[in-house]
Amino acid sequence: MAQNYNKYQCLNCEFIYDEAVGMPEYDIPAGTRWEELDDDWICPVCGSEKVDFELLEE
Amino acid sequence: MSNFLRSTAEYDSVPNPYDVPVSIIDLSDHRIPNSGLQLEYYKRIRQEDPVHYLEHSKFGPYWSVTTYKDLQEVENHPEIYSSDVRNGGCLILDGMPLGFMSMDNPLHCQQRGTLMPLMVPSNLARMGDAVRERTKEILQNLPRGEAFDWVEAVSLPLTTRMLSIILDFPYDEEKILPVWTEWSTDVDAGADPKWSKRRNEILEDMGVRLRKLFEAKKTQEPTGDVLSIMAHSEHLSNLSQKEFQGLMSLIVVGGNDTTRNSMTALIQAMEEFPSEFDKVRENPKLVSSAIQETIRWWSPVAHQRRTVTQDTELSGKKLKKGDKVILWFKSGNYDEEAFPNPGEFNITRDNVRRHIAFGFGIHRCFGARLGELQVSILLEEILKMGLTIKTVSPAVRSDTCMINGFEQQLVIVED
Repeated sequence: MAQNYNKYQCLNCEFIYDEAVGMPEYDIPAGTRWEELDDDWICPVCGSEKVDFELLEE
Repeated sequence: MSNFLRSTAEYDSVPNPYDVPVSIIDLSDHRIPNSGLQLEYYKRIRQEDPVHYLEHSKFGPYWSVTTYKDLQEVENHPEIYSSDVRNGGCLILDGMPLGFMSMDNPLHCQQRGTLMPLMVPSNLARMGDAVRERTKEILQNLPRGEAFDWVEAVSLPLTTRMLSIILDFPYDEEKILPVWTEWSTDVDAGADPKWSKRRNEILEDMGVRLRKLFEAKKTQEPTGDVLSIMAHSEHLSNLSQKEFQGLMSLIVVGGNDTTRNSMTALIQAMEEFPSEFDKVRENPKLVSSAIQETIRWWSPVAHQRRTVTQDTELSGKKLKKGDKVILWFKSGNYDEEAFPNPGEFNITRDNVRRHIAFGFGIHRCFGARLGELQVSILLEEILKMGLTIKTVSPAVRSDTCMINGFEQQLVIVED
């Protein structure tokens, strides 16, 4: 269910990764969990690694 | 810090910032880095007039943005604060092309995104192996017990080799790379009629030489380096020579100068704050935090510039369309509201990764993580070898408002 999906924000550029939406333009389908993102995944805007993201509290 | 500064009449003539009216303070004065007063200048502006307008400077009128909060605000609104070279570009010197750094979206995003595969973790790890080998080799061969220049013997060759790797540039010709870097960053020469012609000639030569390598890459299988990625891409394979040269200036500056100066700053930090590095010796997992704090403490990129695209307001100041805005990143990294006791070197700060030395937002330094990697490897290898490194004379800093750089740092190394 959509309400179970989380959002993570990059602390270096404020880009938000929304698990519910994914990143279809990068072949990451909707529903892809944060933990499921490839180890090579980096922020598409500024290049930061996952360590520089934080969970957004709703 | 005063131990690290050379004393000459020119630098001694820089007035104390509290002895002049705040309205005439010019943070772009090239003498400030060597005066020992840089942080005091930033502090006064930050406290008394944090969005500060200067009417007359050799770079024309400009606004200075000096607090962490305002720097983030500007960087969060690239639609209001343009980097486009047609509006002025990203440096205090008008109109200098620097690849995608001097572009707005969507072009910026297209070009930067094209090169992004270079910076994925697996590629960084691959490059890290080569960097570590070169670092060990250089450290092992340093003289012991006699003074030498750390910049020339360590910082320069290490970052130059990294640049050779990412450009796939011939190692036996790589000494030209830092020369191109120096001229690219020398905005004061660019503003000086005596030197700007020479500067343009050198940068044009850089563009021509790298273009030959680039054109050859088009006929070869992809090799994963910058020129190869560009040659086989949709957005970067058909740049005009001017665009190509601008992007190459960005690569040679970003891939060289900032990391080189952080490597020298690291030595100063290790000497000035030994107890913080004792923590790293006890817990090597703190290397990353130590490097982040070194980069905040030193802030190698002094400024970037934006141009206002529409009348707007920033912390109560009214900015007009066309105004030049200078972002002083080091000032933001010494903003007490963001970093309590900013002069204290503290690798266990809660927000040690949140410095703004690499900028913020869409223009955050493309090669930030590669730079961090190189300096981290240098620290790791120094600690593994148990080297003691002592400075033996004041550092000579670069006379420019663009980079917080080092020309020379004499040291003695002991096992």
